[in-house]
Amino acid sequence: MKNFAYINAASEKAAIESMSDKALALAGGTNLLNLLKEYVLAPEALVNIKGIAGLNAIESFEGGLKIGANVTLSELLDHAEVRGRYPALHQALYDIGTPQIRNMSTLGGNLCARPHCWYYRYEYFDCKKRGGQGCAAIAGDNEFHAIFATDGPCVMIHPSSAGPALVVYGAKVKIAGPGGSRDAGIEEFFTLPAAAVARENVLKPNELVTHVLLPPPNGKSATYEVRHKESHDWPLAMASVALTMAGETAQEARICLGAVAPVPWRAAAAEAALKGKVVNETTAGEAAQKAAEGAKPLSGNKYKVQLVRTAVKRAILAAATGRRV
Amino acid sequence: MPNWPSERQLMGTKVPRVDGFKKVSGGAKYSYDINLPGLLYAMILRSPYAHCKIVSIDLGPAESMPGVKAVHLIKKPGDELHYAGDEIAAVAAMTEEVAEDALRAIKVKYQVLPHVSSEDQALKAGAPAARAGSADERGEKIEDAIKEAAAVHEGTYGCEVITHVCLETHGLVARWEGEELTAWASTQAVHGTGTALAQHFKIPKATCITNFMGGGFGSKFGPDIQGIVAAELAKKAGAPVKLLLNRAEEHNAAGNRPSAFAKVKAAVDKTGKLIAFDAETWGTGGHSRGAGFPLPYVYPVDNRRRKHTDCFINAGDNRAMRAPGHPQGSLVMDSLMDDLCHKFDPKLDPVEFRLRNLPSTVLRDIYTKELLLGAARIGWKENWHPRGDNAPGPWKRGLGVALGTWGGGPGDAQATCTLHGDGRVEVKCGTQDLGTGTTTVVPLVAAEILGLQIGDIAGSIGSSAFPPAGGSGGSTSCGGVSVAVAMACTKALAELFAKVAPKLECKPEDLQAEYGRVFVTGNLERGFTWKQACAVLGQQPITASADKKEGEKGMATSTVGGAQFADVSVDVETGRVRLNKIVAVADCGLVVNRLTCESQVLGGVIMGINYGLYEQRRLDPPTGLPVNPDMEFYLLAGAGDIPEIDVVLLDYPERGVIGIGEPPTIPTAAAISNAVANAIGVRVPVIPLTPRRVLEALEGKA
Amino acid sequence: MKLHVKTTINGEEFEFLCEPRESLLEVLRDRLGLTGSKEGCNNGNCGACNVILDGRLVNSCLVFAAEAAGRAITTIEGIQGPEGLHPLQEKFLEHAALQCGICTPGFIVAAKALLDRNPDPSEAEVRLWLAGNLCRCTGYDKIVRAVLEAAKSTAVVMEK
Repeated sequence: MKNFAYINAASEKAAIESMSDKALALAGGTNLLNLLKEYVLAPEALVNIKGIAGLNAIESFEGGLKIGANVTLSELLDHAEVRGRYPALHQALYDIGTPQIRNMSTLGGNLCARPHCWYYRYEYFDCKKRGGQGCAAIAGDNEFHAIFATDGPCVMIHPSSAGPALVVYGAKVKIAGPGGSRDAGIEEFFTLPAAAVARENVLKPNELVTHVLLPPPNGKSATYEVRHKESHDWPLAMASVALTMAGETAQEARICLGAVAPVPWRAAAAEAALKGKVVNETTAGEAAQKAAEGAKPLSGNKYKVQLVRTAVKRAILAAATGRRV
Repeated sequence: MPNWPSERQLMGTKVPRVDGFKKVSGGAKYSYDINLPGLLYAMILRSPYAHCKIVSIDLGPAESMPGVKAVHLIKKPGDELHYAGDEIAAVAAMTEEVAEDALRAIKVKYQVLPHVSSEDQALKAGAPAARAGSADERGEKIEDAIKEAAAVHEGTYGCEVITHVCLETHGLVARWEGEELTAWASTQAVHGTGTALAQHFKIPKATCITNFMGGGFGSKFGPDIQGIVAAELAKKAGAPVKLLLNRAEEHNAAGNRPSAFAKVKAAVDKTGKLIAFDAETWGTGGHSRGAGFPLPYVYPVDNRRRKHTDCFINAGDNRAMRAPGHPQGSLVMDSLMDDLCHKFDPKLDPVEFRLRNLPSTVLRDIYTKELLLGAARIGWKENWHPRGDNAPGPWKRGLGVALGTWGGGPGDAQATCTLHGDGRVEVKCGTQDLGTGTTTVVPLVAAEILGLQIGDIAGSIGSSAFPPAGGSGGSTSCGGVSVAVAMACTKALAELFAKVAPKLECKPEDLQAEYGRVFVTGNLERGFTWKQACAVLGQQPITASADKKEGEKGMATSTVGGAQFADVSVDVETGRVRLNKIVAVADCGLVVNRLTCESQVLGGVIMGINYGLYEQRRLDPPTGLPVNPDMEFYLLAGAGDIPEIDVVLLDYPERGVIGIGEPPTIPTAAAISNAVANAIGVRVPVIPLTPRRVLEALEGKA
Repeated sequence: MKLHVKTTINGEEFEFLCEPRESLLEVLRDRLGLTGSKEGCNNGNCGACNVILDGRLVNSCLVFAAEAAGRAITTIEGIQGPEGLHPLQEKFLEHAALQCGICTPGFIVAAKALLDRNPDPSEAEVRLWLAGNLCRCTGYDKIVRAVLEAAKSTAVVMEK
């Protein structure tokens, strides 16, 4: 790891003043330290934002929740309201990493995490995100890469497992910068590589996610994750679903996929297919078929199409029944 | 002929590890825990390309860096580097950070050369990338037999390259005192490592110490390049040097199990007996080592032909890995056996099919017992069904079985036993404990022979200063060490008896040592406590030495068979395999320590589970560079992935001691693969059985 | 530039100088002689370096040493009480829930953190909690048994 200056920021303002493309924010560190160790990132300074007052609380807010960016994933998992009212988020968090990782990782960090693509992670590969010429994943081992938005320039999958759940709840991200604070819709927060290949979201180098705003839930929700191992593994595909129900009919459906695109991926066709239908195995299966529409798998990940269908179907049924499938 | 006591107090019981206290309290000092005054930290610069040549190298920027104490060139300009990770140069510095800074400051110009990074690329390229091994052909009627066969099956099977992933990486701490070199190494061979270091530096002796060791699995038999380099740096710097590989280096440069692929055609006659076997096999063991594996395996067949090709690719070389070759042979052969059985008669029980095809050797009875016992433990009768579970829902359940065999005879070992006048007993043997439990075996066996308790024995292993013993490989340590220790103790005891007998007015051969006493056989009262007996020695202790050769016939043996059964469920909508239960029936002769013997079997099974479901060294196809040299994308099972494992130790005390380290890892993956085929109705031909592969196999079936 | 860090480890005050880039694991092992915490993967996957930091189980390879300032750390060396081994350590020994032993300190520290939070975990909870600890030799069965038995025996001690 290249050495750096260590700056403790006591306030949002101080953090923002210190941050730049050469001075990166340090929160839980579970993602950042590994990238530093691999020389993927080599900043001149790290700005520790964990000491900033007000960023580590979960508060009630307009019937929903206002979650400080420094709240750890463990704290969220232990929070009664997250568990009771936001099952899609709770289930997504439950499957992230390990107890050790969840004890350190923060919600802000989960949203801002850099890709776990191995071509990004190891400096000896060509990677556009790191300023290289091309994306090594396209001709390489892309078994775990994107199946949506694969036209390039980068076929990473977004590493945030909380992202899809936040999308189906219509969350907002509060961003602090030199000009003050602004709110971004969670879907606008994440950006595709085509927009700017070097980053994964709208944050500028001297901006900071300070809070996530969760509106009150409106119906039933669930997340289903497919992965290879039971213990500590990244998802191969996942789906978060929120349904506004009238009896057994889905009046509204919001479906978002994870681990299959460079951003949490809204499955609009699946939503449309489910809307107005009685939710059962058949309709969930039909919506699941639609969820894979538009997928353009790479050479090694066609199997993920099936995983998307399974995850969507099971998430829909889990949301409707309240039982994990 | 020497033999074990017919009634044993300790052997075969469950004895907690004597080194366990230090291990659970954090006090155990492994090689990488050795911190000496003035210690320097060393690191190795490695090739960033799969294949290249060094054009020029400038060490200057590293040498002039503050905190850098020594730099050592391993390769020189003009030298070829054969894989990403091949060693170039090394530095020793005051801290790990400075060492890493210095490595990155070294300027190397490379000429990139064409590379080969997969078996397919090697086969396509032809020689020298793919080199035909010797063809093996026996019997003359393969074609005829196939024509007359009741059933013929043709299939392709394969296993990927995996790495050892010792939790403590390879390396050592080297210290010079004048011309004397001491190395605290993570090694499976203290004597071999000490000798190799002495030879390299042309010094009379180098001492190698391994008090605690974090696993080896076959990959740690010598000082290796990094060990020599550490000692070179220590010599140059005039200070002790620690050089332990990091996790990526461990994956790339510290050995692996070669891949194995086979295209096989096999036939059975109308009784369901194998009559012909024709295989083309290939695999890669790295840039300079082969990828041989036994085939046909376990099940004999007279008419057979096999052509094997070694693929030389630009990757790290293989090293022995827990039962080298055998898990590959088992995966290919036992998968084939199940497929052939299905082809012959879809309703024929695969256990019965195996019983019809057992070898007519000493293993026949052992396998038969194991198959019947294991089948009962897994619930085979109740739950086995012909291929393809027709139950509704996405989860399909299946059962599978596979067999393995291994040698495991007594390895080279000498030991000394010293009895002191105050009753102390010291036993020394220059073997080492990889984590397997040898540290406990030594005092356990000594206490058994001397009629004492384990706590009465001061056992010492893990140093080349102790009597020579071979490297711990081939599951031979337990046999060799047990016999050598037993013989040394028996001899020492005979000398003690000779001195005690006059005091008890009896002949030495009338004496026995048991229950902490030395007494006249048949009369416990007519004797001494151990301490009283030893007091006759006064200031002149007895030291007896022995070689395992003195007692190996009758006290230890080789050739084992093992059977394993798997009960799995497969989610056909995700391709995920969930294990419900594994039964491992292990043939272990005379059990020395039941507790650690069980652990060895459990550990072997879990390594087999990893082999079958998770592990795979992945190289980027276009560049040949490793994509998963870590413990994140190189998948290893965690506690949540492991099912109930039912370990059955098949006691055969009359066979003597047999090593148990390797056999239990052999058939696990094949049993799992067979269970998956039984569940979903189609063979997933290559392990690990990833969701992708399972889904692709299902798609192929539909 | 070196940072001056004051911290409490196993109830004892420690002071050290470190570069910002040094991990807590490295300082524990190389600087403070606390080699019970092991380096297995150095990227947060194997758990061999587990310590408890202000009551939370963490991977010390993913924590900068600088961040230990003013915190309380428990390492494997601090699990054992004045009266001897912790029940977890005793059960690991009794069940032979270890082979080479490199993963053992991490497992024991992780299990301690679990029992601190949930004194009576189910088997499924133990398996799930130990997801961040990898073992290459013994496998997990005996480890899970040892943790469950230790939970039972601590419960008995607490009732007394």
